[in-house]
Amino acid sequence: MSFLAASEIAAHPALPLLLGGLVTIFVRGRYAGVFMVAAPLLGLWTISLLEAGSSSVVSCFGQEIISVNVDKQSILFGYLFHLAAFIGGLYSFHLKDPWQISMGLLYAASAVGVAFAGDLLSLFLWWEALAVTSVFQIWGRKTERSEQAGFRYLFFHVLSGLLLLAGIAFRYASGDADPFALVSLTDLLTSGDAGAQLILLAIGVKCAFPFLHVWLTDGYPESTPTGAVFLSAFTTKAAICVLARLFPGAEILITIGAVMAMFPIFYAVIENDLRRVLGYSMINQIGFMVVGIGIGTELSIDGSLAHAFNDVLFKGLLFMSMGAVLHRTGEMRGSELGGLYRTMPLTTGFCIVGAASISAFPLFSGFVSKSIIMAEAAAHGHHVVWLCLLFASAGVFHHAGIKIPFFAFFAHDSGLRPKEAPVNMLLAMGLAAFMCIFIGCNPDWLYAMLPCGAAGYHPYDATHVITQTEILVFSALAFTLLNLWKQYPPELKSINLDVDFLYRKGGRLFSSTMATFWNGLNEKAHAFFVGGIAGKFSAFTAEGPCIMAKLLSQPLQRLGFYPGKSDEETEADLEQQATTGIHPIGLTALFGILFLLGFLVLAWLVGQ
Amino acid sequence: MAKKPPKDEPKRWLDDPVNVRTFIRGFYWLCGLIILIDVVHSIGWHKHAAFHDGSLLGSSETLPSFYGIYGFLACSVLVFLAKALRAFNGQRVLMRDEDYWEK
Repeated sequence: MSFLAASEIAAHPALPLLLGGLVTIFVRGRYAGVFMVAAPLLGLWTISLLEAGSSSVVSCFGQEIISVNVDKQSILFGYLFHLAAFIGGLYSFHLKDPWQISMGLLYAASAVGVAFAGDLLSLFLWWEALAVTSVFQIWGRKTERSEQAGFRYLFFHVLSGLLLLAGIAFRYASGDADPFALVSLTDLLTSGDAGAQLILLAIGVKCAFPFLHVWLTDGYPESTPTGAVFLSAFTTKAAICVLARLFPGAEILITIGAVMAMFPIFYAVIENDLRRVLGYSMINQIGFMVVGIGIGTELSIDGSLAHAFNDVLFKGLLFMSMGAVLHRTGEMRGSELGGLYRTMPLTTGFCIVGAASISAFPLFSGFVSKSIIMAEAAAHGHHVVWLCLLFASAGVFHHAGIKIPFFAFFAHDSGLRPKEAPVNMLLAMGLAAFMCIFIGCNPDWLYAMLPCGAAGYHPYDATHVITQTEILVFSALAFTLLNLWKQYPPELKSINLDVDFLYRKGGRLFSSTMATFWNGLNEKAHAFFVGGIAGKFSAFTAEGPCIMAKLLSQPLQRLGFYPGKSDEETEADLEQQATTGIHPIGLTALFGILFLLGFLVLAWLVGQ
Repeated sequence: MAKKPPKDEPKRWLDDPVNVRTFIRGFYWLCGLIILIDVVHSIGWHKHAAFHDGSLLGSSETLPSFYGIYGFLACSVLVFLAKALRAFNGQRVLMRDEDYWEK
């Protein structure tokens, strides 16, 4: 079937996206959009030719780097990232900004590179590329706010890269036979290996672990309408892919994941910016995946990977529907939106499909993947975690399932009557919505692509369908009643403090302390050196000859060298000559002789 | 804040409060129906338990309407806690003005 050798592959799977990204640096206008759609399609075709077990090795400075390693997991993510790039490309077809277009494709290529990386060294290169290429989706907004948010975003992602590099250095120094191998580091982590800890922290930044998560809720809402679609698809899912490879069964992940699933939902309920609500809901969904990886059974990891696959589609769909609203109205605050279903009915419908999928309604995609993680948590006796995840399931329906569509498209009439989203956006949303329903109705299609095939899991069991519908319907009942009783927190023009408070306030304190200290030191040094020593020296060099001349002239005056002149007249003459640099030749010659004589004496002294 | 909608706009089904009330009433019936199905399913068929360790949670999880009650309580707790996070006893906790970081 494949024309590529089984052991060695001819070209890197990210090549079509890379080439697309490079070409669109130069191509302008409509044609750039064509590349955004064509490059992912070509990439999908290359992925379909890959065979599990093949790899590609390059030699660099005497070090063998496994640039590509193909297995079922990398193929799954390869398909996923190309599909996401295709949907994102279609959605951004109207874009004219070459930075966003080319960097968007390169960003997708980096995610594919992470998925196929064969060792820690190649992983590091793609990991850094992921950081640098992604920030342009935020800067593309071209506001002061987005510029600053982009820098804060970049700060975290550069930090993640440095942590990874430090972890790799520790691994190398450990003297293991194969320190760069991309294999489970869970045992090393539990034994307290510094390299494994640093690598986990590096992945933790990109996975938005608690306290390391603010780049996500800070940066994504400041991105362009199309940028958020790209951002939501790649960074965190690439990190989940690496986490599943390196730390399956690490117990600490169960706790971290449960916290991630829990805390964002509280923020999501009171947040006004609807894309920030989606950002919080994203951390909540990643929490489920992290728990699945932490449980570490074949089935639970399959569940996490399947949920990552579905999350790209339904979260992308939700970000696309909100992006369409932002594109048409220029507004994203729930307090200023509402009643848009009148003129944007299709976008409303797609948004509801995304909301149903993320809430895990039966027949929608979230149902078939989230349930695997829940079932595995219960089967392995994680009672508290299971209750947390169930709480989070009800909560996610509450804020992402109801709040997003309700406050944007229904609720009070904002009076806004925007046009329906452009055709290319509708097509992209339609495709994502189709995928959500298709996977929800045909889970075996997705399960077949998983590394262990979901080990014969069946989501459509009568008990599961009934209990899941029940929890969702009663969550909706709570929303309805609290709204009718005026207990539901209204959308207010406000922001909420997150842990960014610590580092943004800390950063300001640091910069003002540094400014006071170093600028103060600078002023003191200026006063001492420039105003003090240099001033004295300059005064000496300016007035020194004059004073010297006066001193020398006094005995000569007494001896009658200046006939017919009073002392004052001689001094005034000398002063004028010294300041203007005009001395009688005789005097200059005298100084010259004295000077040379001085050297002669000095040379004689040194010679002694 | 809210702009005036155009005058010649056609009236939608949801614009009429009577229809909204009908919709909500239908939703209440749906809630009742789900509980009924759960009860019937629990009595007439074997319900698959999530836990197999004989724990208290494991035995209560299979009771009819456990998920409904848990979902309702979870969302109520969520909303009231979140409100407290905004402001508690009139004191702002996490909520700040929109231009807080630009000040």
